[in-house]
Amino acid sequence: MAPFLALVLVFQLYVLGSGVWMSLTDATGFSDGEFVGLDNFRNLLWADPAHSGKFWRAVGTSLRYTAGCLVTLIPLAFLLATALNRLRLRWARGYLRGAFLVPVVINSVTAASLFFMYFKPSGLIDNLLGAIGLPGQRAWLMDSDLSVPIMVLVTLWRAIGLQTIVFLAQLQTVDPALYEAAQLDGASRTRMLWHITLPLLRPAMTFAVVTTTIQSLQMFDLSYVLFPVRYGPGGSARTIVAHIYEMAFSSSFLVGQATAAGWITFVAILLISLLQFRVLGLGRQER
Amino acid sequence: MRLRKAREVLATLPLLALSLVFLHPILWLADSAFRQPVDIFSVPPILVRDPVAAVQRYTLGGFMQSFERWGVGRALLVSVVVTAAALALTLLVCSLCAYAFAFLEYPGRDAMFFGILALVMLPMATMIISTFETLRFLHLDNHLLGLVLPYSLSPMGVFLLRQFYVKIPRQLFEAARLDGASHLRIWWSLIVPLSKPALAALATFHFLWVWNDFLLPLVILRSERLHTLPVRVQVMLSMIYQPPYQAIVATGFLAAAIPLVLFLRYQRQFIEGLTGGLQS
Repeated sequence: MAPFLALVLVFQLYVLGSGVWMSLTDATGFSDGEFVGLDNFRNLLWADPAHSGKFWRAVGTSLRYTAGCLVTLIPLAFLLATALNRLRLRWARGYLRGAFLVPVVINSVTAASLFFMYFKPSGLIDNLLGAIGLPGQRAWLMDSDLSVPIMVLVTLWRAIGLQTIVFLAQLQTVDPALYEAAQLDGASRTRMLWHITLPLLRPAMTFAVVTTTIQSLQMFDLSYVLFPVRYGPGGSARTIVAHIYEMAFSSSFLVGQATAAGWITFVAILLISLLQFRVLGLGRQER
Repeated sequence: MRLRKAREVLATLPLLALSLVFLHPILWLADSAFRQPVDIFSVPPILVRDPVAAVQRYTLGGFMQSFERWGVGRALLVSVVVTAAALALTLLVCSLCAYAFAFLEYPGRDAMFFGILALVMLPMATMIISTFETLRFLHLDNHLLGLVLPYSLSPMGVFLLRQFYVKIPRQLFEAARLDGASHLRIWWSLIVPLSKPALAALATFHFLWVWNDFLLPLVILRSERLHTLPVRVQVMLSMIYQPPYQAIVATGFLAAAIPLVLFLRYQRQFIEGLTGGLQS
C-alpha cells in the first residue's frame, strides 16, 4: 500500500508545489524563469492593463455564463423533477428519467459539434426556418451577443438530466402526509411549494447550485470547440480557463502568469461556493 | 378508474414531447452518421420525407472517410487504451490507498488524509499547467502514460473509496488479522468483494470522465498520432474552409455510442456513479 500512497501523494504534491512555484516566476514555455514574487498576480489583477484587461474580460464572460447556467438550469431541473415525481405511470417515469440523462453521457466535444451543425449557416436551424417559411437565417455563431447564451443552451441540454435526478431523488423522500395535512389546513399550492417542498429540498438545491457553479466557472471545452472562430467572435466566449489555456499553450506562452490566473480561479471558486453554502445553509437543521 | 388512467396518460404527453426535443440531437447524430453529405442537413429529414429512399441511401461512407482520411481508427484505439488503462490503474491505486487510510494505523496518516482532502478541492483549471510541466519533467508529455497517470492518481477516487471503507465493520478486518492474513490478502479477498458497489460507482464516474475528457488530452498529447476521439472531432471541426461534416458525425457517433450503450445497459450504476460521485 505504501508505495501507491506515496505515488499519489508525491505526484500530486509535486504538481501542486510546482504550480505554486511557477505562479511566482516569470516562466515561459521556453525557460523556467526567475522568481518575481507576486508580480504575476499584481499584473493580472490591475497593474498591467495589457494583461489585466483581457483577464477581467474573461472573468466577466465566465461569470455571465455561470449566472446564465444557474438561472436556467436550476429552476428547469426543479420543474422537471416535480413533473416527473407527479407521474403515476411507471414506464413513463423510467423512460423519461433515462431520456433526459442521455445527453449527460455524451462528451462535450461531440455535443459542441452537434450544436455547431445546428447553428452554422445553412445548418439545421436555418434550414428549419427556411422550410417553414420564416426569415431569420443568420450567422448565429458569429454574433458576439449570442455566444454566451448559446453556450448556456448547450450546457442546459447536457446537464439538466443530472440535476433533475438529484432533485427527484430528494423529492421522493418527502412524506406525502405533509401535503395532505397542509391541504386540510387550506394551504394553497404556492404556499405548499414555499413552506414544504423548497425547505425539504434544501440539500439537493445546495448540491445543484454548488456543482453547477463549480463546473460552469471551469468551462473550457465549449469555448474552444463550439464557434467557427476559436473562443467565439471577438473573443466573446473566452472563459477564464480558455484564457489560461491560451496564455500557457498557444499565443504568448506566459506559463507563470497563466498559473497565477489558475490560482485566482481556484480562490474565486472556493469563495463563491463557501458563500453559496452559507446562504443556502447546507447542514442547517430544519425544525 | 379508466378516466383517471386516461388523464395520467394525457399528463405525460407534454413530457414525452419534451423528451423528443431533448433526444433529437442524439437521434439526428445516429441517423446522420450513416448519411451522405447531401442528406445530412436536409429539413425535413429524409427519413420523414421519404422513408423508403432514406433506408436505401444509408451508407458507411462517413466511417470509411473518418478511418481513411482522418485517422479515427487510431484515435479510437488511443481512447480505448487510455480509458482501459486509466480505469484499471485507478481502481487498483485508489482502492489500495483507501485501504491504507481506512484500516492501517501509522504516524502521519491523518495529516496525509487531510492532504488528499485538500487536493480533492483543487480544480483542473488550477492544476493543468503544473500537471503538464511535471509530466514534461518526467518526459511523459506526449506519451500515453502521461495521460493515464494524472487520471489514475486521483485524490477524489481515494477519498470516495476511503469514505466507503470506513463503514465496513472493523471486526471483520481484525478477525482476518487474527487469522494471520496479510494486508494484501485481506484487501483482495475481503475488502474488494465487499466494496463492489463503491468500486462500480467509481468506475462509471471515472469512465465518463476519462472517455469524454477534452482538456487534458489536448494539453498532454500534442502529437497527432496520439489524439483521442474528442480531440480528433475538434480537429476535424476546425477545418476552416469546409469541415468534413460526414466524417464528423460518424466520429462523433462513435465517441458517443460507447458510453450510450453502456448507459442503456447499466443505467442504475450510472445514476449511482453520477450522483454519488458528485455528492461528496
